[in-house]
Amino acid sequence: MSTRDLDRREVINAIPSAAGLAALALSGCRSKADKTKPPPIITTRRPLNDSAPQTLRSSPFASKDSSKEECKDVEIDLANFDPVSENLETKLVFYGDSRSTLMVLSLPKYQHGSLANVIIMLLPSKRLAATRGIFEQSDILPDTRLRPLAFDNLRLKSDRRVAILYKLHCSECSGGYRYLKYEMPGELQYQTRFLGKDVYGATSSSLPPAFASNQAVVDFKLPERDSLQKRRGYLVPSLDTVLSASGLEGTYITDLAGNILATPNTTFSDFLSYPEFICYKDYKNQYFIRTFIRTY
Amino acid sequence: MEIDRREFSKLIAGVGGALSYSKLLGRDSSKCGELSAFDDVIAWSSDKIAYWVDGFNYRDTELNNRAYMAILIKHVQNQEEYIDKIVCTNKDKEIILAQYFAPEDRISSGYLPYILLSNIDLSQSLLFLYIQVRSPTQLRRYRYTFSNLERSKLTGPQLPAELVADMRTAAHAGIVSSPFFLPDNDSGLSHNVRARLLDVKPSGFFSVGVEFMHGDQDLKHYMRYFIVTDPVGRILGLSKRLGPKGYDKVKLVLSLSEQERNTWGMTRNMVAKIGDCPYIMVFCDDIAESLSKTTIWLR
Repeated sequence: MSTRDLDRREVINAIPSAAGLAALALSGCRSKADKTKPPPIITTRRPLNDSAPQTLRSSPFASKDSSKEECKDVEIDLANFDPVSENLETKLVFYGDSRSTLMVLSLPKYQHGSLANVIIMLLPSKRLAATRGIFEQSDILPDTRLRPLAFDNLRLKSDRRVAILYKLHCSECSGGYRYLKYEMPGELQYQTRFLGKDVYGATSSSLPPAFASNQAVVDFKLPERDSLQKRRGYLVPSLDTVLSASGLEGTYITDLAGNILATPNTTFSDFLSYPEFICYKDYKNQYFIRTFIRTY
Repeated sequence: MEIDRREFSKLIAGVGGALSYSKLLGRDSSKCGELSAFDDVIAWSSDKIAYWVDGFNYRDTELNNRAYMAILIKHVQNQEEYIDKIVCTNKDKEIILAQYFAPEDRISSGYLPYILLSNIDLSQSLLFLYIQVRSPTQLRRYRYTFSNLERSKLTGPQLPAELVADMRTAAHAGIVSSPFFLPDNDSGLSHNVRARLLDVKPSGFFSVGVEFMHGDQDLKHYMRYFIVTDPVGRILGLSKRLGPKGYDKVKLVLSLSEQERNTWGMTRNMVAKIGDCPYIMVFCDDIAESLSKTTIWLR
């Protein structure tokens, strides 16, 4: 469902809530090739005037009895969505803790074409955590790969798994979209290991041993002043701008998705493509100190 | 009853949709106490929101617009009334981010946790934030409109008046520079903030060591403020030097005490807690040249 043509005050209704997603699945957002499959099952929580759960195989509002469900949540049954295809192979990385999680989603094999939204569902509670739109200008790299998507400050509480629903443009589908799912095979693990060693990072309530003196602190320099553009008394970067940095010596550098960008013996300078990155500094060959860096 | 797909989706997407459906069926919506009617979105008051814009958000450049935004919605979450959904859209009403919350999703002040948007395109002139507030008897929908968003200045209403006045009269006027956004002067290129988180306790106490960006020059050119804030620029701790004396290479900034808060004339709501922050921002104010910033993530 596109929000483009909705009245402004209705736009919030168009956001995929649990019920909205289920409705989309029910009401034809499946590819024509899938039409032989039975319609998705929606299980409603305790109906208003009936303590027994109900399982419906058609629109819950199409039958007279279904009027009882008007105030109830509708659960998405993931079993009714097709799993992701190979090009949507999903990599998830988690930082922080269940009180404040940074989840980074990357699709290493995906070349941008049809992805419209990414929807995060927490399991086993089936709570929706977030929906993120995909935009060509800010999310797609020049080589058409998707930039890793950061979902920050999520509260996972007791949930230990994540399911992703990908909303894809589909000209063959009635409604113009279809959904594919990715379910984590096991429980999520926060990033506490790197290259076989323990990793320690700062939290909002404690510092790991040796963090104070070993966190990465970076000095950036712009050797090519000519590569900057003047804007109202300030200089801003151009595509040719190259930053150099000191303070990163002896560290591994990764992007937020955990891909190694530089080793202690190599130099990293693509700060324009990676304005956020992570430093791992080896402490006495015992463990790594992790520091997140932002350049902007 | 047959309902077309789009209409159907609108009807049941959220509680308001369910109400519409009950209207469609001609039933009394009051049958379900959870629901009540509303006709339009209500404007969300500007004093109930704080935000900070950062990143590659420059006008008229060849770089893609990739901004970063932190939002604090000042609504106390409790069982009786809580925000259960926020939706950020661009002016074409395309979803940038939606997030869903429960009554227990709150920070120490009771407010909703910080909402963080990464790599978003702010080149459009308008951005909308829809806020859905649920109570046992009502569902209200609000909208806050951001227009012409630029990189944030350290001059917002969340800051003490004296600091704001000082920022406005400095050469940088509160504009925050970064390695990618530099004052067009000869010395701007070397103004990096080097800051280290030295201590943090579950009680909320913290200590940040901030290196002077350079030595004191004269009465009108020295490092004056050392400031630590939450993601939307609310004060966590600050230190002000009254002149170019006591240069010691590193300035310690500690969590703001109650006494300091009173001295600065700040209400409790103006002060943040580090325990709520996924990251903190550290500013160093060189009166004559630059207001620079770095970020320390708590991950």
